[in-house]
Amino acid sequence: MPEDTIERIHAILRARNRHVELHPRLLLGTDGLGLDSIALVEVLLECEEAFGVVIATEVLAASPLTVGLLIDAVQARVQE
Amino acid sequence: MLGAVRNRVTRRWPTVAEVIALFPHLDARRAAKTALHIGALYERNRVLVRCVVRHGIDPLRSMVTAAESFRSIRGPRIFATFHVGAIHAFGPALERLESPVIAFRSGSIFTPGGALVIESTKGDEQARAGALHRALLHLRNGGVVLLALDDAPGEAIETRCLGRRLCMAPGAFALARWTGTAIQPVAARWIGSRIAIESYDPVNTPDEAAQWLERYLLENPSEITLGLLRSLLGVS
Repeated sequence: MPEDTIERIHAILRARNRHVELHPRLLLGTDGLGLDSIALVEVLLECEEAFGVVIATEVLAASPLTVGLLIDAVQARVQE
Repeated sequence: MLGAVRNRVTRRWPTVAEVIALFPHLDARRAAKTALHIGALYERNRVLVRCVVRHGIDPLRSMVTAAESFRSIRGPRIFATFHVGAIHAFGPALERLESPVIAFRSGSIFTPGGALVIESTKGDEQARAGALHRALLHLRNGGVVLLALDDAPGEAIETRCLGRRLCMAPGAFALARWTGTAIQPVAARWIGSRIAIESYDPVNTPDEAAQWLERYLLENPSEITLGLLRSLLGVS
């Protein structure tokens, strides 16, 4: 996994919440970063803009979204 | 026993004092008439929901008419509903639009047809984010999204309407910001045994939406639903 991708996604997430240490299993929603529904969508939009990709809604439909799952979803799109 | 029945019935009817508290410009006679109409609106809507739950949306299709200004609307567009009039009667008019529609509801009372899809507002933050993201993609593809703005639970934007606190759901404004789509108020009004759907000039902010609702209610105080009236008055 390119370090640059991880760092850029971490920067997007840190801009939302600087007080929580980021790690792959950290939830983005409640009990994690604490992002509400609108902030969750905005994070996806910021990732789309930063990497020039379109992220499918499915990333929000599966298991609780974690930092690691978000990085995987973005990385998969970047490599397509 | 009689007391329980009386309490149950009167809970469905606003008092004249409640109506005057919200619409102080009404004299006692007009307030009494308005209270009667609000109670009648509650009962009509209740019967309508029961009818739709039992028989589906078919009986409603012949009752609901939409103004040309509504019928000719194409996406992308965000329709904003408020707790006024026949709030459960948009389905037939939405089905007839040329653009596909996603309607947000806390629960579906019928199986939609045509290009209408019901999206639940229930669930945790991630589930709601998923619904919002689908609505975002839908708007990007030229679709129409319908959401209720007023009387929102949870995370909400506080505004003022008729001098009272009114919480607006933030989702519609976020969708408008992300996609540059206009938010257009729509209302369904009982006219005899028929229901007419109208659309109005767009609003850009929660405050503008609250001002639109205030103007609508000042012109049509009988159109307020009992739930919104009691919510504005802070009565549970």
